[in-house]
Amino acid sequence: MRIEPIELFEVPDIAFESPAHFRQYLATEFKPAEILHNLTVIGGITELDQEALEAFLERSGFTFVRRYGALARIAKRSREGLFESYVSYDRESVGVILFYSNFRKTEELRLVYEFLESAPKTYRLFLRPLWIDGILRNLLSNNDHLRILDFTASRSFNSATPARLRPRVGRTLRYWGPDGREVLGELSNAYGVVPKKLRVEIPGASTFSIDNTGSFTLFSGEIKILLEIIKSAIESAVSEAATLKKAHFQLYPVAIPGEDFQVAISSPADIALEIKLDYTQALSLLEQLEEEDFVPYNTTAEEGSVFLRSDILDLRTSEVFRLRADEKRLRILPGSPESVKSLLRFYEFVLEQLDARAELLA
Amino acid sequence: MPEEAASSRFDELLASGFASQLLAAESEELERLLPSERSKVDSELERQKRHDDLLTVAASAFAPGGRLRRETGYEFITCEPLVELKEQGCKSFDVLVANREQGVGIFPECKSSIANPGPEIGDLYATISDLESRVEYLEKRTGVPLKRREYVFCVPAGEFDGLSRAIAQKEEAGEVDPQKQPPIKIWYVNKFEGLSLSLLTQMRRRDEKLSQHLDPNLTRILAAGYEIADELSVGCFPSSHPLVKASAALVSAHRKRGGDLSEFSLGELEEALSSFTVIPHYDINNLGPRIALELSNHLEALGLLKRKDAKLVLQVKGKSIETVLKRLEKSYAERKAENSARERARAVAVEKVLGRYRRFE
Repeated sequence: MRIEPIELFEVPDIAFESPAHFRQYLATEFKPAEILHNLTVIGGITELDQEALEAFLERSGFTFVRRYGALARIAKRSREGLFESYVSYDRESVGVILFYSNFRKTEELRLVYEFLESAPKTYRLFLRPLWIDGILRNLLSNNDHLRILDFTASRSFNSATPARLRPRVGRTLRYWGPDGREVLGELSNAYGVVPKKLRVEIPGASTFSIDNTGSFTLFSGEIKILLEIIKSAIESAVSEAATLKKAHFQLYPVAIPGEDFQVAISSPADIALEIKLDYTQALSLLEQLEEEDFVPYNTTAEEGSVFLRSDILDLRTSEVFRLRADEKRLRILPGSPESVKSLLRFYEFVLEQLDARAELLA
Repeated sequence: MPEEAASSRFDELLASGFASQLLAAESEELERLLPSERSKVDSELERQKRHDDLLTVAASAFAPGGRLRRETGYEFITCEPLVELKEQGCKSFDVLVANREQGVGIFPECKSSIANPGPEIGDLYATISDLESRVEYLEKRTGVPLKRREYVFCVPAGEFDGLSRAIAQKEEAGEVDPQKQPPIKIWYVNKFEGLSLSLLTQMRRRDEKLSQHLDPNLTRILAAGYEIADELSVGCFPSSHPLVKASAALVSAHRKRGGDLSEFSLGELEEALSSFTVIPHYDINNLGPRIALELSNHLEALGLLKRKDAKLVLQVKGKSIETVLKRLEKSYAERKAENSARERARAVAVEKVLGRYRRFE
């Protein structure tokens, strides 16, 4: 079978003043029917400035093909062939990077995820279950006829989200059907699952999907609603990143004659739990961490009212942080100036595995 | 029978025709003793980790940049002051915090649990006397004037009641004279709802001045319970459990170079343990290499490490950091439990065999 080569959708040869300007252009001019496959937008948050980020894109094998003001066209050759995308960088209190491409999600767009995973101080947008809930409620209140066409929802065995049936079982459900909206409600009640991916149809407007790994795909219709959702996702992620910045690591000198004595001080970020953490859950949490490439060591845990303390090495970044947990709160303390990426990954882990309603305390 | 004597008696008997009876008795006894020895090793490790955590909390309350430091001028100076003199038989406290302007040093000693407060109080006074005779040295070494000194037990919140009673009893009984000897103060750590350090400002039938700090401001803030947010970021302390030190060194090596962590050089171990950010001690440049040597000798004696040329090779299967950490902890506990169970089992086996022989006679 001959695979039709994909080409990146074209944009006019103008200099966009800002990433927002480009989105305005999309809102009025973008026609999904005119492109091959679907437009997917993938978001990331970065503490790098634009120059450093672009340098890292180039180090990761991307070339800058052409610039359109605040937008750039980039390309990377991989085993599957040539991959192309537009990319924009915006500076808020942290950097926001958005990739726009109509290449295929599983085949070529993985290159974007790999980049976001490997770039220092950079992470993909993560959509919290509560945020997805809020977006869904908002959409429903404006569109009575909204349908959910398919969804993926899951729960971990250690999750504290209420479930009527066998709450200690970890499960993932994938559902296709025109009554997805009703089924999601029913399954959430019975099985305590939380949505991770949704494909939504708003009759007469558009069909699109959102995925908690920070990707948004337009299947048909207008792009406006999806762009609004992306904007809200960015705002939420930027505010979380700002909160997480409270966690930092600093060296202070202690005056000792003849010694260059410095102590390392770590300032925490706190995650407030909606659930009441118990001892068994705390211990299971440690085992689950190992499955996600976190290595807990020097752990101590006490029963009664629960208390747990552990140092944690993140195998993906080689950074360390300390975890302190009691019934109501998880506290994370960075063990180096570079641990924010690990802390965020840990927060995602908590949301997915333990408490979907946990919140970073500002 | 002392263990050494039991062991040589065991060897004698082994050579004298009682071998099979003796070995059978030993192995039976070993099987019986192993589970309890194993749980002793585990709980000792847990106890020491909890102790390290108390130490971290006490030190962190006085972290640079924190409110307590700002409002009282008391700052964290070092963990384990004087531990570099351990080989001379000098005992050391867990932490030194001081106010340089006032010339006051506070020396907390952390106890994760106090089952028997009497002897602990006695030990504390022994440590105080070691310190008092080396104040000049410590002032010179740290550059911190220590004209006045305060001594503190730092315990978990659940422990202060029994401890304060024991202190009051000793003072009432005249075993300790708080007018002539330094009065002991108590800090307690609450870690189940938030994390805070408090001063116990009153003890039964004791002049409250004796329980409070020289600096009324410090007393006031600690009395209200000081919430800890910023923490000292440490790998371990000089007297941490060997496994805690080994983990800190291994993780540090992993972050530095990655790769096969079952093999490393003594130099690498020394480097990892000679860093202020791993062990916050003023003398770590000299102390680190000693701690590294002690640790490698200890692991070697347990059969968990072998020296091969200039390399130290861990005797655990696996090379990745997560496997090495896990296997090392497991093998350590097994070897340690087996060693102490074996010694006791031999003593019992000797007694059993000799007992039978005597009956036969």
